[in-house]
Amino acid sequence: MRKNLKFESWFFYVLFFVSLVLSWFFHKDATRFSDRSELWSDRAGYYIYLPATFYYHFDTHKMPADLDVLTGGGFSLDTLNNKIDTKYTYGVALMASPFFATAALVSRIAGYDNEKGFSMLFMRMMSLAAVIYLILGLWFLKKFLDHYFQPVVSFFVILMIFLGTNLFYYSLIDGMMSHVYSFFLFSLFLFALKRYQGLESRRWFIVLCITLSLAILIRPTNVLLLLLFFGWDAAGPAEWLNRAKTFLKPRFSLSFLSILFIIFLPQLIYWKYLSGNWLHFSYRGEGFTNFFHPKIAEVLFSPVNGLLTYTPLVFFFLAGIFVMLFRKKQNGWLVAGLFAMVTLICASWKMWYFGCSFGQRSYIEYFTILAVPFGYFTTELFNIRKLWLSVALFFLLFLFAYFNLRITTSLYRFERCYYGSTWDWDHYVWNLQRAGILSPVCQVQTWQNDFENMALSPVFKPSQLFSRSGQYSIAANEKEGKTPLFSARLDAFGYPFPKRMDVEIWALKTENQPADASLNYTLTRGNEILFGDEQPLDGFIKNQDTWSKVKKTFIIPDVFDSTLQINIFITNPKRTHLFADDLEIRYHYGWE
Amino acid sequence: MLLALFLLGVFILVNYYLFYLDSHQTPDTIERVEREILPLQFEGGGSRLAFHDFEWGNIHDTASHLAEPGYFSKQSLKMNSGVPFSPGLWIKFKDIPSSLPKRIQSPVSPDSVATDDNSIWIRAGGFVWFSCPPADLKCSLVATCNHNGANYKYMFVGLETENLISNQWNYVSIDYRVPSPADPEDVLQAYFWYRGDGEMLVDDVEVNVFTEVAR
Repeated sequence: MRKNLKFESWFFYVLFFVSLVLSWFFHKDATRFSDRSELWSDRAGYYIYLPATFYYHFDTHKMPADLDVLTGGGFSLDTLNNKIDTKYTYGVALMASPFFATAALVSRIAGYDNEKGFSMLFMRMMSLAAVIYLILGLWFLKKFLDHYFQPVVSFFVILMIFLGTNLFYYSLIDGMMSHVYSFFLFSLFLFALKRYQGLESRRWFIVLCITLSLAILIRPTNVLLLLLFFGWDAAGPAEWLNRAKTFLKPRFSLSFLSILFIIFLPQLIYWKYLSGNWLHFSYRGEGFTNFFHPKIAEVLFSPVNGLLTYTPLVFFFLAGIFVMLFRKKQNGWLVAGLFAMVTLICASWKMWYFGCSFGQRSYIEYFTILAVPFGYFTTELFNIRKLWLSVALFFLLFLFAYFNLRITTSLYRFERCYYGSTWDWDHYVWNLQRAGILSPVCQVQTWQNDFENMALSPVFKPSQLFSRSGQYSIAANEKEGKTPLFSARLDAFGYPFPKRMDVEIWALKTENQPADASLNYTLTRGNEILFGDEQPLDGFIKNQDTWSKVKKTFIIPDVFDSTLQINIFITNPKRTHLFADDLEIRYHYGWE
Repeated sequence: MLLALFLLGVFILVNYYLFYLDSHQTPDTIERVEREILPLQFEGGGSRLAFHDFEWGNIHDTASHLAEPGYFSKQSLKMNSGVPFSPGLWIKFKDIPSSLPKRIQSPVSPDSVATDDNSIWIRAGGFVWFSCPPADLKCSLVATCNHNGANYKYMFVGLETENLISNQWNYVSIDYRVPSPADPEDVLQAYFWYRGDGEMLVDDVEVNVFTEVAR
């Protein structure tokens, strides 16, 4: 036992040290206002509460006028109404506040310019905060898993979750996102739940309430955790009912509501300051708009941030759920139901791929719960007698962890967004080749854009009026009559460049008269057009309000300048109501 | 578990090895050249688009770059670094004789997708004479299309790889399937391109166009 504890301490010390080094490595090139910084885009949106409270006192006039732009647009400054507008809640900022205070104190003692909360010291401290919450989260998870599994299984499970899931990325690279904080809260909740269930102690109930309230504050859908309070390790429906009755007793329910209120109060005050109302839906234009046609297949399997396509280790989590159900283990149905609910929630969200993400990041906190089926699976795996099966499954486990680490490194080296289409498998495979998972890197064969991935949108805002697939299409009514659809430099292909490309796009017009529009292609050097061709659309779009396929083979000349750019666009000089969707390009590297 | 880790190591090493092999391949432009061969069903359906026997000029006029002898004739063209390109074919797509399939004249029509049924071929060829070792002969027989100065479907036969014989006349040709042009104003070209510092003679440069022979 003592030996185990000693090993456990060393295990977490080493994990902490390695994480710290990796976090430093991933942020070594970060500058104050760059996308590599912890205080950029969404991360800045979570963080802004701290400098706004302690340095600027929520007065935009005291802030640099373009601070919102400099930090990647994660929040906005409304100087007219003197408001700082962030759609994120203050939970992450609250949890990061001790690190913020330390950075402020060190700055003051050392006489170091704190840049009002945006110096490099604050950024480093936010990276450190993520590492600390990661290690604490893993530690609490290990303690929780020890209730069910041998220590070796618990160690194996937390190590695989760390190395084999996007938790690695969202704690060591994008640590100021909410996920590592939620992961910590979920782990603490599970740990506290076991303590509460064992001791029936009011102290642990308070810990549960604080943890749950913070988790709900950070992400309201985390209210699902409440299900665990009622159902975790429950022998049957009667015990569910008993726990519900206990919870509804005034001393319990009022304690929970009071803590929830206290934790939410600063948020309510912020919303009142921002909108004039105590309650405010900050995700304008978003929401659960896909609830009646959830994008479940996309969330699980799409090349654009699909759960299983980017975190294949989850296959083993799901296998563990089947093991639990098959072996009639406690909590099997609860975990399966929870996974289904989380999937439904993610699939109902309008932007089901969650923007520029790595995989389905909304599942990260739920990996704490899925660790239990994974633990059961691992236990079975350790007991498999057939050598070939055992080796094959372990090989897959390690391969999936390797997969995760290579993709993470690729995201660090290249861009953070995924620039592919919903079901563009060619681009996915190319991405794996670029990440070094598959070799060698092959020539790009196809390109698709269904205009669902906003990172790939050729225009500022795609249209929702008509769509052939998904939710969006491109309205060909941009200024000057030219609507871009695609552009790529020749160096994106590698030498030799393609010689021809078959372009297919679906078009729809809402008027009965000829549109005089055309599908155009140019090859340009700067503003100079070297080569061009066009395909008039009227010959293809015969019927009004019907999607028609437009096809054309364009020639790419034999050039040696890789900086030349291919452009495909629609010219619509009369700006008639014309929509385009589902662009597909097939490249030919020869003339055969 | 250790065996699985070992297998993962093997997987990673194999990947790195494949990547290493791929990144150390030096593309040989000659080897990468595509070669097209006129299909049998087109043989015999040819008509002449251009012919140059170089018999018309005065050999004593240095500006004409002519030399003696020719291939079973008096004169030929002397190519060197000052005369790198021979006469050959230079014709706009819109000027290709109207007896040829419609695809050539209406390149932007929606049904202008090239198929085996309506394709057109040219065969460009000529006789060459040189005295240097065959491997040192830096000359190409080129067929290409040109749109506003930019070449596409640029294909060539490198004479240094054609197993020719020094100090005698050798026949060289290239078959070329004519692509759908981007514009009727695009130009179809075929010519010899001498890239060396020495000299070479060229004679009877001929370009024929082929459409499928009805069976």
